[in-house]
Amino acid sequence: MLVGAVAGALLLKTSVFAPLGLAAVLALATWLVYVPAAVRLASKAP
Amino acid sequence: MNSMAGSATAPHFDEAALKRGAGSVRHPLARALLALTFTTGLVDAVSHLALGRVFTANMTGNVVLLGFGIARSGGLPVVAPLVSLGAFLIGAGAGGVLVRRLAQRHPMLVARTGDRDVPARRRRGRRGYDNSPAGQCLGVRAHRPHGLRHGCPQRDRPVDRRAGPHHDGADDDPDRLWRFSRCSSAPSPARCS
Repeated sequence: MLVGAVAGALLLKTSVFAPLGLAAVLALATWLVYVPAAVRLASKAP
Repeated sequence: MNSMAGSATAPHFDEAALKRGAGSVRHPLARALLALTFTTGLVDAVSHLALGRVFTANMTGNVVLLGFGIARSGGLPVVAPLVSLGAFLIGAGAGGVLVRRLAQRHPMLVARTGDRDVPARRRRGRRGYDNSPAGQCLGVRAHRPHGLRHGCPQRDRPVDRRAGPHHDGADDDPDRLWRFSRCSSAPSPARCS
């Protein structure tokens, strides 16, 4: 969270939309990556 | 008891293997949590620095800022933290509903949390019904006394809290952190315990 806050504060110097866009991309990527990985992990259980 | 297998159709789940895997950064859950925590920092930086001295994710900070605002110290706002707290409550409620519905359709995607924080006496619920982790299928069930009707039917008979056939002491295990539910969501679902 500290790293995110520092990155957000630095990105805020360029534009408001930069950190917000990065946050949206990260949230979407987390959902798209985590869900298949969780399904794969669950299906691997013996 | 280290698995939730109880019938031929209920898949075995190796909780110890999951715990070992979750300790690594390469585990998908650990990566997801790291990414979401980073995202929280980003959103809080924007909201606090650019949108009016209020946090949108860090409610602890909001409460502190609200206290400063009420005390008229530092020129901090009062309405903005209150709006943020209210919106956070609505979002948390919506998330709970979403998780409950998701747990019925995709139970394997719902992680059980909070077992360590809830005393065993509270987890067992009322009337002696066994709501222990060994008897539960999902953490959602603790807030839904009749269990998940489609994803994982609950046991409908009271059990002895100490010497019942399903009491294995697993709910007293302080190391039990969480587990995935592997209940079937088929029309004739298998019991989880």
